[in-house]
Amino acid sequence: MVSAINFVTKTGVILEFEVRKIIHDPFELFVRMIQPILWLVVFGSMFNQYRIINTGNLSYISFIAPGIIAQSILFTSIFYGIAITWDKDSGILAKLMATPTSRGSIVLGKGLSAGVRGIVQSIVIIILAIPLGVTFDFAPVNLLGVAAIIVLAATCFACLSIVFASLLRRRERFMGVIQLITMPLFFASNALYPLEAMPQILQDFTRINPLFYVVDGFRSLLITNNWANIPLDFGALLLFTLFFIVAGIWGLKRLME
Amino acid sequence: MTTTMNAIDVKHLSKIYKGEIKAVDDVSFNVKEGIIFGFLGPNGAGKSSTIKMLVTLTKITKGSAHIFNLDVAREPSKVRELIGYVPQELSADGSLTGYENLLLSAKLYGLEPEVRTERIRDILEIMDLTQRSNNLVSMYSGGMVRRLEIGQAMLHHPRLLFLDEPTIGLDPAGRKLVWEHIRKLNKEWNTTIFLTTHYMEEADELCDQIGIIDRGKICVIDSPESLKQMVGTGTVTACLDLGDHQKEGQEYLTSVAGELAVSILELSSGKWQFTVPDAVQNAPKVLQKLNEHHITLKDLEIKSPTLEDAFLQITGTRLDEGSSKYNLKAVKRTRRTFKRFG
Repeated sequence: MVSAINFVTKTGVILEFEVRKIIHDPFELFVRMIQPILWLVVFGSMFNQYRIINTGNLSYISFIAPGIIAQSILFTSIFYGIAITWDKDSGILAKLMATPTSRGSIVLGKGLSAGVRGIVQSIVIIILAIPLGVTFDFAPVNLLGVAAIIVLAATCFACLSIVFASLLRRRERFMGVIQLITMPLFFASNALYPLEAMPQILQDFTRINPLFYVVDGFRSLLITNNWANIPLDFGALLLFTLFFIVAGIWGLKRLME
Repeated sequence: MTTTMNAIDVKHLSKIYKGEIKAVDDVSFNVKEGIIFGFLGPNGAGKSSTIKMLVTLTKITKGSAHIFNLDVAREPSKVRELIGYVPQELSADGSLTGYENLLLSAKLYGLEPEVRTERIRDILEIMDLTQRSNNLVSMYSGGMVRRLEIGQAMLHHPRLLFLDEPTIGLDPAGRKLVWEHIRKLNKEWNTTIFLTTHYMEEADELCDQIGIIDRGKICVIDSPESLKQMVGTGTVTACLDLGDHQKEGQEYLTSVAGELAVSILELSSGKWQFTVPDAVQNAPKVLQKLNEHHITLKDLEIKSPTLEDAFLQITGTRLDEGSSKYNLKAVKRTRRTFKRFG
Protein backbone atom coordinates (compact mmCIF):
# COMPACT_ATOMS: atom_id res chain seq x y z
CA MET A 1 0.00 0.00 0.00
CA VAL A 2 2.77 2.41 1.00
CA SER A 3 4.69 1.62 -2.15
CA ALA A 4 1.54 2.13 -4.28
CA ILE A 5 1.03 5.59 -2.74
CA ASN A 6 4.72 6.29 -3.25
CA PHE A 7 4.46 5.22 -6.90
CA VAL A 8 1.50 7.50 -7.57
CA THR A 9 3.11 10.45 -5.72
CA LYS A 10 6.42 10.15 -7.59
CA THR A 11 4.64 9.73 -10.93
CA GLY A 12 2.77 12.94 -10.11
CA VAL A 13 6.05 14.72 -9.32
CA ILE A 14 7.63 13.69 -12.63
CA LEU A 15 4.45 14.80 -14.45
CA GLU A 16 4.34 18.12 -12.57
CA PHE A 17 7.87 19.09 -13.57
CA GLU A 18 7.42 18.00 -17.19
CA VAL A 19 4.38 20.29 -17.32
CA ARG A 20 6.39 23.12 -15.73
CA LYS A 21 8.90 22.72 -18.57
CA ILE A 22 6.13 23.07 -21.15
CA ILE A 23 4.88 26.21 -19.39
CA HIS A 24 8.40 27.73 -19.33
CA ASP A 25 8.85 27.11 -23.05
CA PRO A 26 5.65 26.36 -24.99
CA PHE A 27 7.35 27.06 -28.35
CA GLU A 28 7.68 23.40 -29.35
CA LEU A 29 4.08 22.69 -28.36
CA PHE A 30 2.84 25.38 -30.72
CA VAL A 31 5.22 24.51 -33.55
CA ARG A 32 4.06 20.91 -33.45
CA MET A 33 0.49 22.09 -33.93
CA ILE A 34 1.21 23.64 -37.31
CA GLN A 35 1.40 20.36 -39.22
CA PRO A 36 -1.97 18.95 -38.06
CA ILE A 37 -3.59 22.32 -38.63
CA LEU A 38 -2.32 22.28 -42.23
CA TRP A 39 -3.69 18.76 -42.70
CA LEU A 40 -7.06 19.90 -41.46
CA VAL A 41 -7.29 23.30 -43.10
CA VAL A 42 -5.60 22.57 -46.46
CA PHE A 43 -5.92 18.83 -47.06
CA GLY A 44 -9.23 18.39 -45.24
CA SER A 45 -10.96 21.41 -46.76
CA MET A 46 -9.83 20.50 -50.29
CA PHE A 47 -10.97 16.88 -50.10
CA ASN A 48 -14.18 18.02 -48.42
CA GLN A 49 -14.94 20.33 -51.30
CA TYR A 50 -14.45 17.76 -54.06
CA ARG A 51 -15.79 14.74 -52.09
CA ILE A 52 -13.03 12.52 -53.50
CA ILE A 53 -13.30 9.96 -50.70
CA ASN A 54 -16.62 8.37 -49.90
CA THR A 55 -17.27 8.82 -46.19
CA GLY A 56 -20.96 7.94 -46.22
CA ASN A 57 -23.22 10.29 -44.29
CA LEU A 58 -20.33 12.25 -42.84
CA SER A 59 -18.72 15.22 -44.55
CA TYR A 60 -15.05 14.55 -45.23
CA ILE A 61 -13.94 17.33 -42.87
CA SER A 62 -16.01 15.78 -40.07
CA PHE A 63 -14.55 12.38 -40.91
CA ILE A 64 -10.94 13.55 -40.94
CA ALA A 65 -11.05 15.83 -37.83
CA PRO A 66 -10.73 12.95 -35.29
CA GLY A 67 -7.99 11.46 -37.47
CA ILE A 68 -6.05 14.72 -37.37
CA ILE A 69 -6.37 14.94 -33.57
CA ALA A 70 -4.98 11.39 -33.36
CA GLN A 71 -2.22 12.26 -35.81
CA SER A 72 -1.15 15.31 -33.79
CA ILE A 73 -0.88 13.14 -30.66
CA LEU A 74 1.08 10.47 -32.52
CA PHE A 75 3.49 12.92 -34.16
CA THR A 76 4.23 14.69 -30.87
CA SER A 77 4.48 11.70 -28.56
CA ILE A 78 6.51 9.49 -30.88
CA PHE A 79 9.43 11.94 -30.64
CA TYR A 80 9.51 11.73 -26.84
CA GLY A 81 12.44 9.35 -27.08
CA ILE A 82 14.59 12.24 -28.32
CA ALA A 83 14.04 14.07 -25.03
CA ILE A 84 14.91 10.90 -23.12
CA THR A 85 18.10 10.45 -25.19
CA TRP A 86 18.99 14.06 -24.46
CA ASP A 87 18.28 13.57 -20.75
CA LYS A 88 20.51 10.51 -20.84
CA ASP A 89 23.38 12.30 -22.61
CA SER A 90 23.18 15.30 -20.29
CA GLY A 91 23.12 13.23 -17.08
CA ILE A 92 19.60 14.36 -16.08
CA LEU A 93 18.28 10.82 -16.41
CA ALA A 94 21.17 9.32 -14.42
CA LYS A 95 20.56 11.75 -11.59
CA LEU A 96 16.83 11.07 -11.68
CA MET A 97 17.37 7.32 -11.60
CA ALA A 98 19.75 7.56 -8.64
CA THR A 99 16.95 9.09 -6.52
CA PRO A 100 14.49 6.80 -4.72
CA THR A 101 12.05 6.96 -7.65
CA SER A 102 10.87 3.79 -9.35
CA ARG A 103 11.59 3.37 -13.05
CA GLY A 104 7.85 2.91 -13.56
CA SER A 105 7.13 6.36 -12.10
CA ILE A 106 9.69 7.97 -14.40
CA VAL A 107 8.30 6.31 -17.54
CA LEU A 108 4.66 6.85 -16.62
CA GLY A 109 5.20 10.45 -15.47
CA LYS A 110 6.90 11.35 -18.74
CA GLY A 111 4.27 9.46 -20.74
CA LEU A 112 1.42 11.25 -18.98
CA SER A 113 3.04 14.60 -19.70
CA ALA A 114 2.77 13.72 -23.39
CA GLY A 115 -0.94 13.34 -22.62
CA VAL A 116 -1.06 16.91 -21.28
CA ARG A 117 0.46 18.16 -24.54
CA GLY A 118 -2.04 16.02 -26.43
CA ILE A 119 -4.99 17.57 -24.58
CA VAL A 120 -3.80 21.13 -25.35
CA GLN A 121 -3.24 20.29 -29.02
CA SER A 122 -6.61 18.56 -29.32
CA ILE A 123 -8.45 21.55 -27.87
CA VAL A 124 -6.80 23.86 -30.43
CA ILE A 125 -7.65 21.51 -33.33
CA ILE A 126 -11.26 21.17 -32.17
CA ILE A 127 -11.63 24.96 -31.91
CA LEU A 128 -10.21 25.39 -35.42
CA ALA A 129 -12.36 22.62 -36.88
CA ILE A 130 -15.68 24.16 -35.78
CA PRO A 131 -15.62 27.08 -38.28
CA LEU A 132 -14.65 24.57 -41.00
CA GLY A 133 -18.03 22.92 -40.55
CA VAL A 134 -17.30 20.06 -38.15
CA THR A 135 -20.05 19.36 -35.62
CA PHE A 136 -18.72 17.85 -32.40
CA ASP A 137 -20.63 16.09 -29.66
CA PHE A 138 -19.64 17.92 -26.49
CA ALA A 139 -21.53 15.75 -24.00
CA PRO A 140 -19.41 15.75 -20.79
CA VAL A 141 -19.14 11.97 -20.69
CA ASN A 142 -17.97 11.93 -24.32
CA LEU A 143 -15.36 14.60 -23.60
CA LEU A 144 -14.17 12.65 -20.58
CA GLY A 145 -13.80 9.58 -22.77
CA VAL A 146 -11.88 11.59 -25.38
CA ALA A 147 -9.54 12.96 -22.69
CA ALA A 148 -8.90 9.41 -21.46
CA ILE A 149 -8.10 8.22 -24.99
CA ILE A 150 -5.75 11.19 -25.51
CA VAL A 151 -3.83 10.38 -22.32
CA LEU A 152 -3.70 6.64 -23.08
CA ALA A 153 -2.62 7.21 -26.69
CA ALA A 154 0.05 9.78 -25.82
CA THR A 155 1.44 7.55 -23.06
CA CYS A 156 1.41 4.56 -25.42
CA PHE A 157 3.32 6.33 -28.22
CA ALA A 158 5.72 8.09 -25.81
CA CYS A 159 6.63 4.73 -24.24
CA LEU A 160 7.00 3.14 -27.69
CA SER A 161 9.37 6.01 -28.47
CA ILE A 162 11.42 5.32 -25.32
CA VAL A 163 11.79 1.70 -26.45
CA PHE A 164 13.09 2.84 -29.84
CA ALA A 165 15.43 5.34 -28.17
CA SER A 166 16.92 2.57 -26.03
CA LEU A 167 17.36 0.27 -29.02
CA LEU A 168 18.81 2.88 -31.38
CA ARG A 169 20.69 5.05 -28.85
CA ARG A 170 21.97 7.64 -31.36
CA ARG A 171 19.67 10.56 -32.12
CA GLU A 172 20.34 10.48 -35.87
CA ARG A 173 19.32 6.84 -36.12
CA PHE A 174 16.32 7.47 -33.92
CA MET A 175 15.04 10.31 -36.10
CA GLY A 176 15.41 8.22 -39.26
CA VAL A 177 13.62 5.17 -37.88
CA ILE A 178 10.84 7.14 -36.21
CA GLN A 179 10.08 9.00 -39.43
CA LEU A 180 10.04 5.64 -41.17
CA ILE A 181 7.42 4.17 -38.84
CA THR A 182 5.11 7.13 -38.22
CA MET A 183 3.83 7.42 -41.78
CA PRO A 184 2.88 3.71 -42.12
CA LEU A 185 1.15 3.94 -38.72
CA PHE A 186 -0.75 6.99 -39.91
CA PHE A 187 -1.64 5.72 -43.38
CA ALA A 188 -2.53 2.22 -42.15
CA SER A 189 -5.18 3.62 -39.84
CA ASN A 190 -8.64 4.97 -40.51
CA ALA A 191 -7.51 8.58 -39.99
CA LEU A 192 -7.75 9.77 -43.61
CA TYR A 193 -10.10 7.23 -45.22
CA PRO A 194 -12.60 4.58 -44.11
CA LEU A 195 -11.41 1.07 -43.40
CA GLU A 196 -13.35 -0.28 -46.41
CA ALA A 197 -11.33 1.90 -48.79
CA MET A 198 -8.12 0.04 -47.90
CA PRO A 199 -6.80 -3.18 -49.46
CA GLN A 200 -7.42 -6.27 -47.30
CA ILE A 201 -3.80 -6.54 -46.16
CA LEU A 202 -3.88 -2.98 -44.76
CA GLN A 203 -7.25 -3.65 -43.15
CA ASP A 204 -5.68 -6.62 -41.34
CA PHE A 205 -2.72 -4.49 -40.27
CA THR A 206 -4.96 -1.85 -38.70
CA ARG A 207 -5.96 -4.43 -36.07
CA ILE A 208 -2.45 -4.30 -34.60
CA ASN A 209 -2.08 -0.56 -35.09
CA PRO A 210 -2.92 1.31 -31.87
CA LEU A 211 -3.67 4.47 -33.88
CA PHE A 212 -6.68 2.69 -35.44
CA TYR A 213 -8.36 2.32 -32.03
CA VAL A 214 -7.50 5.91 -31.11
CA VAL A 215 -9.11 7.32 -34.28
CA ASP A 216 -12.11 5.02 -34.00
CA GLY A 217 -12.61 6.03 -30.37
CA PHE A 218 -12.38 9.75 -31.16
CA ARG A 219 -14.76 9.45 -34.11
CA SER A 220 -17.29 7.46 -32.10
CA LEU A 221 -17.25 9.88 -29.16
CA LEU A 222 -16.79 13.23 -30.87
CA ILE A 223 -18.67 12.85 -34.15
CA THR A 224 -21.05 9.88 -34.45
CA ASN A 225 -21.83 9.31 -30.75
CA ASN A 226 -21.93 5.60 -31.55
CA TRP A 227 -20.72 3.64 -28.51
CA ALA A 228 -20.76 0.17 -30.10
CA ASN A 229 -16.99 -0.03 -30.58
CA ILE A 230 -15.97 1.94 -27.49
CA PRO A 231 -15.28 -1.09 -25.22
CA LEU A 232 -13.08 -2.65 -27.93
CA ASP A 233 -11.30 0.65 -28.63
CA PHE A 234 -10.62 1.29 -24.94
CA GLY A 235 -9.69 -2.32 -24.21
CA ALA A 236 -7.25 -2.60 -27.10
CA LEU A 237 -5.68 0.80 -26.40
CA LEU A 238 -5.30 0.00 -22.71
CA LEU A 239 -3.52 -3.27 -23.54
CA PHE A 240 -1.18 -1.55 -26.02
CA THR A 241 -0.43 1.18 -23.47
CA LEU A 242 0.28 -1.23 -20.61
CA PHE A 243 2.50 -3.30 -22.88
CA PHE A 244 4.51 -0.27 -23.99
CA ILE A 245 4.79 1.08 -20.41
CA VAL A 246 6.40 -2.21 -19.38
CA ALA A 247 8.57 -2.16 -22.51
CA GLY A 248 9.43 1.50 -21.77
CA ILE A 249 10.64 0.58 -18.26
CA TRP A 250 12.81 -2.11 -19.84
CA GLY A 251 14.04 0.46 -22.37
CA LEU A 252 14.89 3.00 -19.67
CA LYS A 253 17.02 0.47 -17.78
CA ARG A 254 18.66 -0.60 -21.04
CA LEU A 255 19.45 3.00 -21.91
CA MET A 256 21.48 3.35 -18.70
CA GLU A 257 23.61 0.25 -19.32
CA MET B 1 35.85 10.47 14.44
CA THR B 2 34.20 7.96 16.70
CA THR B 3 32.83 5.55 14.15
CA THR B 4 34.83 3.36 11.84
CA MET B 5 31.92 1.95 9.90
CA ASN B 6 32.46 1.33 6.22
CA ALA B 7 30.43 3.65 4.03
CA ILE B 8 31.41 1.61 0.98
CA ASP B 9 32.60 -1.98 0.89
CA VAL B 10 33.44 -3.39 -2.53
CA LYS B 11 34.66 -6.92 -3.20
CA HIS B 12 35.92 -8.28 -6.51
CA LEU B 13 33.74 -5.85 -8.44
CA SER B 14 33.77 -6.13 -12.24
CA LYS B 15 31.86 -4.43 -15.04
CA ILE B 16 32.05 -6.10 -18.42
CA TYR B 17 30.28 -4.47 -21.38
CA LYS B 18 29.04 -6.56 -24.30
CA GLY B 19 30.69 -9.64 -22.81
CA GLU B 20 34.22 -8.51 -23.58
CA ILE B 21 35.07 -4.92 -22.61
CA LYS B 22 36.32 -4.94 -19.01
CA ALA B 23 35.65 -1.41 -17.75
CA VAL B 24 36.19 -2.45 -14.12
CA ASP B 25 38.30 -5.51 -13.45
CA ASP B 26 38.10 -7.33 -10.10
CA VAL B 27 38.26 -4.23 -7.90
CA SER B 28 38.15 -4.42 -4.07
CA PHE B 29 38.26 -1.50 -1.64
CA ASN B 30 36.44 0.08 1.26
CA VAL B 31 35.76 3.66 2.27
CA LYS B 32 35.44 4.60 5.94
CA GLU B 33 32.54 6.80 6.99
CA GLY B 34 33.26 10.53 7.23
CA ILE B 35 36.20 10.80 4.86
CA ILE B 36 36.67 12.24 1.37
CA PHE B 37 37.79 9.41 -0.88
CA GLY B 38 39.05 10.11 -4.38
CA PHE B 39 39.29 7.81 -7.34
CA LEU B 40 42.15 9.17 -9.44
CA GLY B 41 42.81 7.96 -12.94
CA PRO B 42 42.79 8.91 -16.60
CA ASN B 43 39.55 9.10 -18.57
CA GLY B 44 38.42 5.59 -19.44
CA ALA B 45 40.13 4.05 -16.39
CA GLY B 46 36.84 2.73 -14.99
CA LYS B 47 36.01 5.48 -12.49
CA SER B 48 32.55 6.36 -13.81
CA SER B 49 31.64 2.70 -14.38
CA THR B 50 32.44 1.97 -10.72
CA ILE B 51 30.36 4.93 -9.55
CA LYS B 52 27.43 3.93 -11.78
CA MET B 53 27.37 0.48 -10.23
CA LEU B 54 27.56 1.92 -6.70
CA VAL B 55 24.67 4.36 -7.28
CA THR B 56 22.52 1.51 -8.70
CA LEU B 57 22.43 2.85 -12.26
CA THR B 58 24.03 -0.14 -13.96
CA LYS B 59 24.16 -3.79 -13.09
CA ILE B 60 27.16 -5.33 -11.37
CA THR B 61 28.62 -7.97 -13.70
CA LYS B 62 30.64 -9.76 -11.01
CA GLY B 63 31.47 -9.28 -7.34
CA SER B 64 29.58 -7.35 -4.69
CA ALA B 65 29.16 -3.83 -3.34
CA HIS B 66 27.69 -2.70 -0.03
CA ILE B 67 26.73 0.84 0.97
CA PHE B 68 26.42 1.12 4.77
CA ASN B 69 26.01 -2.66 4.85
CA LEU B 70 23.19 -2.63 2.29
CA ASP B 71 23.72 -4.84 -0.75
CA VAL B 72 23.62 -2.55 -3.81
CA ALA B 73 22.36 -5.32 -6.11
CA ARG B 74 19.65 -6.60 -3.76
CA GLU B 75 18.38 -3.44 -2.10
CA PRO B 76 18.86 -0.66 -4.66
CA SER B 77 15.86 1.40 -3.43
CA LYS B 78 17.17 1.54 0.16
CA VAL B 79 20.65 2.42 -1.11
CA ARG B 80 19.22 5.32 -3.16
CA GLU B 81 17.68 6.81 -0.02
CA LEU B 82 21.08 6.98 1.67
CA ILE B 83 23.09 8.50 -1.14
CA GLY B 84 23.35 11.63 -3.23
CA TYR B 85 24.81 11.54 -6.74
CA VAL B 86 26.12 14.22 -9.06
CA PRO B 87 26.97 12.85 -12.53
CA GLN B 88 29.91 14.01 -14.60
CA GLU B 89 27.74 15.99 -17.03
CA LEU B 90 26.12 19.28 -16.00
CA SER B 91 22.86 17.59 -15.18
CA ALA B 92 20.63 20.26 -13.66
CA ASP B 93 17.63 20.76 -15.92
CA GLY B 94 18.16 23.91 -17.98
CA SER B 95 14.45 24.20 -18.73
CA LEU B 96 13.60 24.66 -15.05
CA THR B 97 14.66 27.37 -12.59
CA GLY B 98 17.26 26.72 -9.91
CA TYR B 99 14.51 26.67 -7.27
CA GLU B 100 12.45 24.21 -9.33
CA ASN B 101 15.43 21.89 -9.75
CA LEU B 102 15.80 21.82 -5.97
CA LEU B 103 12.05 21.39 -5.47
CA LEU B 104 12.04 18.44 -7.88
CA SER B 105 14.82 16.70 -5.95
CA ALA B 106 13.19 17.51 -2.60
CA LYS B 107 9.91 15.95 -3.73
CA LEU B 108 11.61 12.90 -5.22
CA TYR B 109 13.49 12.35 -1.95
CA GLY B 110 10.11 12.52 -0.20
CA LEU B 111 10.77 15.56 2.02
CA GLU B 112 7.66 16.91 3.72
CA PRO B 113 6.49 20.38 2.54
CA GLU B 114 7.52 22.24 5.72
CA VAL B 115 10.95 20.55 5.78
CA ARG B 116 11.65 21.09 2.10
CA THR B 117 10.96 24.83 2.16
CA GLU B 118 13.54 25.24 4.90
CA ARG B 119 16.07 22.89 3.29
CA ILE B 120 15.81 24.56 -0.11
CA ARG B 121 16.32 27.98 1.48
CA ASP B 122 19.37 26.72 3.39
CA ILE B 123 20.90 25.00 0.37
CA LEU B 124 20.43 28.09 -1.81
CA GLU B 125 22.20 30.11 0.85
CA ILE B 126 25.04 27.62 1.38
CA MET B 127 25.64 27.33 -2.35
CA ASP B 128 25.42 31.12 -2.91
CA LEU B 129 22.50 30.80 -5.30
CA THR B 130 19.69 32.63 -3.47
CA GLN B 131 19.84 35.67 -5.78
CA ARG B 132 19.50 33.59 -8.94
CA SER B 133 17.11 30.92 -7.70
CA ASN B 134 14.22 32.05 -9.90
CA ASN B 135 16.26 32.21 -13.12
CA LEU B 136 16.19 29.34 -15.57
CA VAL B 137 19.27 27.15 -15.09
CA SER B 138 20.08 27.63 -18.79
CA MET B 139 21.18 31.14 -17.74
CA TYR B 140 23.65 29.85 -15.10
CA SER B 141 27.43 29.59 -15.44
CA GLY B 142 29.07 26.15 -15.29
CA GLY B 143 30.19 26.69 -11.69
CA MET B 144 26.72 27.76 -10.59
CA VAL B 145 25.16 24.69 -12.20
CA ARG B 146 27.68 22.48 -10.41
CA ARG B 147 26.90 24.07 -7.04
CA LEU B 148 23.19 23.71 -7.70
CA GLU B 149 23.64 20.02 -8.50
CA ILE B 150 25.63 19.38 -5.35
CA GLY B 151 22.88 21.21 -3.47
CA GLN B 152 20.25 19.00 -5.12
CA ALA B 153 22.14 15.89 -4.07
CA MET B 154 22.47 17.18 -0.49
CA LEU B 155 18.85 18.19 0.15
CA HIS B 156 17.94 14.97 1.94
CA HIS B 157 21.19 15.05 3.98
CA PRO B 158 22.60 11.83 2.50
CA ARG B 159 25.22 9.95 4.48
CA LEU B 160 27.24 9.39 1.33
CA LEU B 161 27.69 11.74 -1.63
CA PHE B 162 29.02 10.54 -5.00
CA LEU B 163 30.61 13.20 -7.20
CA ASP B 164 31.72 12.11 -10.65
CA GLU B 165 34.40 14.53 -11.88
CA PRO B 166 32.88 17.45 -9.91
CA THR B 167 34.99 20.20 -11.45
CA ILE B 168 35.46 19.02 -15.04
CA GLY B 169 35.23 21.97 -17.40
CA LEU B 170 35.18 24.65 -14.67
CA ASP B 171 37.52 27.64 -14.58
CA PRO B 172 40.01 27.84 -11.66
CA ALA B 173 37.82 30.21 -9.63
CA GLY B 174 34.74 28.02 -10.10
CA ARG B 175 36.78 24.95 -9.19
CA LYS B 176 38.06 26.49 -5.93
CA LEU B 177 34.52 27.47 -4.92
CA VAL B 178 33.25 23.93 -5.54
CA TRP B 179 36.15 22.53 -3.48
CA GLU B 180 35.23 24.84 -0.61
CA HIS B 181 31.66 23.59 -0.63
CA ILE B 182 32.71 19.94 -0.78
CA ARG B 183 34.99 20.44 2.24
CA LYS B 184 32.24 22.25 4.10
CA LEU B 185 29.72 19.44 3.55
CA ASN B 186 32.26 16.89 4.70
CA LYS B 187 33.27 18.78 7.84
CA GLU B 188 29.98 20.32 8.94
CA TRP B 189 27.54 17.56 7.98
CA ASN B 190 29.95 14.65 8.33
CA THR B 191 28.98 13.50 4.84
CA THR B 192 31.23 10.80 3.42
CA ILE B 193 32.29 11.88 -0.05
CA PHE B 194 33.35 9.60 -2.87
CA LEU B 195 34.63 11.53 -5.85
CA THR B 196 36.35 10.69 -9.08
CA THR B 197 38.80 13.00 -10.74
CA HIS B 198 41.60 13.08 -13.24
CA TYR B 199 42.97 16.31 -11.78
CA MET B 200 46.00 15.68 -9.56
CA GLU B 201 45.66 18.89 -7.61
CA GLU B 202 42.00 18.17 -6.90
CA ALA B 203 42.80 14.78 -5.41
CA ASP B 204 45.72 16.28 -3.46
CA GLU B 205 43.73 19.24 -2.19
CA LEU B 206 40.53 17.48 -1.17
CA CYS B 207 41.00 13.81 -0.45
CA ASP B 208 41.86 12.03 2.78
CA GLN B 209 42.43 8.85 0.79
CA ILE B 210 43.14 8.25 -2.86
CA GLY B 211 42.67 5.15 -4.94
CA ILE B 212 44.67 5.21 -8.15
CA ILE B 213 42.81 3.36 -10.88
CA ASP B 214 44.14 2.54 -14.30
CA ARG B 215 42.72 0.29 -17.03
CA GLY B 216 39.97 -0.99 -14.75
CA LYS B 217 42.25 -2.01 -11.88
CA ILE B 218 43.13 -0.31 -8.62
CA CYS B 219 46.90 0.14 -8.41
CA VAL B 220 47.13 1.53 -4.88
CA ILE B 221 45.02 3.12 -2.12
CA ASP B 222 46.64 5.49 0.37
CA SER B 223 46.64 9.04 1.69
CA PRO B 224 48.07 11.74 -0.62
CA GLU B 225 50.96 12.27 1.82
CA SER B 226 51.91 8.58 1.89
CA LEU B 227 51.67 8.35 -1.88
CA LYS B 228 54.05 11.27 -2.22
CA GLN B 229 56.42 9.80 0.38
CA MET B 230 56.37 6.60 -1.62
CA VAL B 231 58.14 8.50 -4.41
CA GLY B 232 60.56 9.73 -1.77
CA THR B 233 62.68 12.08 -3.87
CA GLY B 234 62.35 15.55 -5.23
CA THR B 235 63.61 17.05 -8.41
CA VAL B 236 66.34 19.67 -8.45
CA THR B 237 67.01 21.70 -11.56
CA ALA B 238 70.22 23.72 -11.42
CA CYS B 239 71.45 26.06 -14.14
CA LEU B 240 75.22 26.15 -13.88
CA ASP B 241 77.90 28.39 -15.25
CA LEU B 242 80.56 26.02 -16.51
CA GLY B 243 82.35 28.82 -18.39
CA ASP B 244 84.84 27.53 -20.94
CA HIS B 245 85.07 24.18 -19.21
CA GLN B 246 81.84 22.56 -20.42
CA LYS B 247 83.33 19.15 -21.04
CA GLU B 248 85.36 18.94 -17.85
CA GLY B 249 82.45 20.28 -15.86
CA GLN B 250 80.11 17.64 -17.21
CA GLU B 251 82.64 14.90 -16.55
CA TYR B 252 83.01 16.12 -12.99
CA LEU B 253 79.25 16.19 -12.40
CA THR B 254 78.90 12.65 -13.72
CA SER B 255 81.73 11.46 -11.52
CA VAL B 256 80.31 12.95 -8.29
CA ALA B 257 76.76 11.75 -8.92
CA GLY B 258 77.39 8.43 -7.17
CA GLU B 259 79.17 10.01 -4.22
CA LEU B 260 76.33 12.51 -3.65
CA ALA B 261 73.58 9.86 -4.12
CA VAL B 262 71.90 11.82 -6.90
CA SER B 263 70.34 10.39 -10.06
CA ILE B 264 70.89 12.51 -13.13
CA LEU B 265 67.77 13.21 -15.20
CA GLU B 266 69.29 15.62 -17.66
CA LEU B 267 72.80 16.91 -18.19
CA SER B 268 73.29 19.40 -21.00
CA SER B 269 75.31 22.55 -21.45
CA GLY B 270 74.67 24.67 -18.41
CA LYS B 271 71.67 22.69 -17.14
CA TRP B 272 71.81 19.91 -14.61
CA GLN B 273 68.60 18.22 -13.53
CA PHE B 274 68.75 15.51 -10.91
CA THR B 275 66.76 13.80 -8.20
CA VAL B 276 68.03 13.38 -4.68
CA PRO B 277 66.37 11.68 -1.72
CA ASP B 278 64.68 14.27 0.51
CA ALA B 279 65.48 17.04 -1.95
CA VAL B 280 64.80 19.98 0.37
CA GLN B 281 67.33 18.68 2.95
CA ASN B 282 70.01 17.29 0.66
CA ALA B 283 70.09 19.63 -2.34
CA PRO B 284 72.04 22.35 -0.45
CA LYS B 285 74.76 19.79 0.40
CA VAL B 286 75.15 18.98 -3.29
CA LEU B 287 75.35 22.63 -4.19
CA GLN B 288 77.93 23.23 -1.46
CA LYS B 289 80.09 20.59 -3.14
CA LEU B 290 79.74 22.36 -6.50
CA ASN B 291 80.67 25.64 -4.87
CA GLU B 292 83.82 24.04 -3.47
CA HIS B 293 84.68 23.04 -7.02
CA HIS B 294 84.11 26.64 -8.20
CA ILE B 295 81.08 25.79 -10.32
CA THR B 296 78.84 28.87 -10.19
CA LEU B 297 75.09 28.52 -9.86
CA LYS B 298 72.90 30.75 -12.11
CA ASP B 299 69.44 29.47 -11.21
CA LEU B 300 67.96 26.82 -8.96
CA GLU B 301 64.59 25.10 -8.63
CA ILE B 302 63.75 22.51 -5.98
CA LYS B 303 60.48 20.64 -6.44
CA SER B 304 59.06 18.44 -3.68
CA PRO B 305 57.54 15.12 -4.77
CA THR B 306 54.02 15.58 -6.19
CA LEU B 307 51.10 13.27 -6.60
CA GLU B 308 51.89 13.34 -10.30
CA ASP B 309 55.33 11.84 -9.56
CA ALA B 310 53.60 9.16 -7.48
CA PHE B 311 51.11 8.47 -10.26
CA LEU B 312 53.92 8.23 -12.78
CA GLN B 313 55.85 5.81 -10.61
CA ILE B 314 52.81 3.66 -9.80
CA THR B 315 51.19 3.42 -13.23
CA GLY B 316 54.24 4.00 -15.42
CA THR B 317 52.35 6.67 -17.38
CA ARG B 318 51.55 10.32 -16.96
CA LEU B 319 47.89 11.07 -16.28
CA ASP B 320 47.44 12.84 -19.60
CA GLU B 321 49.15 10.08 -21.61
CA GLY B 322 47.29 7.17 -23.10
CA SER B 323 43.98 8.81 -22.50
CA SER B 324 43.91 11.26 -25.37
CA LYS B 325 41.16 9.44 -27.23
CA TYR B 326 39.02 9.38 -24.09
CA ASN B 327 39.90 13.00 -23.41
CA LEU B 328 38.60 14.01 -26.80
CA LYS B 329 35.30 12.30 -26.05
CA ALA B 330 35.10 13.90 -22.59
CA VAL B 331 35.97 17.35 -23.87
CA LYS B 332 33.38 17.10 -26.67
CA ARG B 333 30.74 16.01 -24.18
CA THR B 334 31.60 18.79 -21.75
CA ARG B 335 31.60 21.38 -24.53
CA ARG B 336 28.21 20.15 -25.69
CA THR B 337 26.84 20.44 -22.19
CA PHE B 338 28.28 23.90 -21.72
CA LYS B 339 26.88 24.98 -25.08
CA ARG B 340 23.49 23.87 -23.86
CA PHE B 341 23.84 25.96 -20.74
CA GLY B 342 24.92 28.98 -22.77
